[in-house]
Amino acid sequence: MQDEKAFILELLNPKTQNVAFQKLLQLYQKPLYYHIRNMVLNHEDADDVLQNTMLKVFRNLKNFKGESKLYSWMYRIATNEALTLLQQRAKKQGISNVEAQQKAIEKLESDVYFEGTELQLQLQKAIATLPQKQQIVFTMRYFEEIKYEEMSDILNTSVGALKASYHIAVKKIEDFLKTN
Amino acid sequence: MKPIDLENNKKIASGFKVPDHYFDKFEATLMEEILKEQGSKVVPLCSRKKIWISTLAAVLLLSIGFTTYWNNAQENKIDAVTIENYLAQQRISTSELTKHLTNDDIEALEENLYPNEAYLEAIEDHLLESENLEYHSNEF
Repeated sequence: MQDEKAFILELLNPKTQNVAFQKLLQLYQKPLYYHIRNMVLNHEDADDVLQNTMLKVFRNLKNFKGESKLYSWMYRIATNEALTLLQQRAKKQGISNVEAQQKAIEKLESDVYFEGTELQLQLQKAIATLPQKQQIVFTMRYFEEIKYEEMSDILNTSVGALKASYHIAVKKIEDFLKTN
Repeated sequence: MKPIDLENNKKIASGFKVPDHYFDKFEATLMEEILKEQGSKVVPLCSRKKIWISTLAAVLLLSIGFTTYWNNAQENKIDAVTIENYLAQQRISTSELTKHLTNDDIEALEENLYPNEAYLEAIEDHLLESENLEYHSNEF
């Protein structure tokens, strides 16, 4: 992206705001969508969360202090929004987060927006067995290919801890795939 | 089955798909939503201009109206002499006049119109001394 400071100024200036925001949307809507989808699994929920995320980004641009990168800030909002949805979904069904995640995985088999090869389904089932933080770290590194340094800024966790978390997750998933 | 090595084997895709043209539609919907939000928050410059013009017009109309009313009110004020002359020229009976007077007004008039005792005595003395008594008595 062009000089971030200049771009933020464009986003804050009422005259250039809309054009700049559209540019931001074109750049980040796709990676943010897949980041959210990896967490919530179905398209409808991912669509809702992405919309809430982008509206929150727009409404809070004036409060963005530039302490982290715009990209990290947006990912942080998206992650929090997705986690909120997961909690609400479990609460609504009166079950734990883990049970809600298992239910969502079961529904994946009939989801029209899931490619549905056996290996892909098994991989999703394996991810669902991980603790929530490990799930996020694994999907961000494996599917989204986000660098550890950037992930550290987004999740506010040290690079070392993230690397350890990822390797543990990989081991667990491989074991799951071996036995299932 | 060959064990899966996630870090060295070919990457497995997540398998997630989106509806056709989803991102184009999403962008359009979100920008529409943002424009709506801006519309409800920000008063465009042209609207501000309209408000100023309307306020100025209202103030102008009010001041013209007030000035006109004040001038008319001043013109409509009739002084006592004009009323007196008007009444003198009209044939108005006493009963018609008294209709507009209160009891207190009538008493005050009686006091002013009818001479008091000292005044009557003075007239009597003057008449007694006068040579034209008969003439004066006829006048009463």
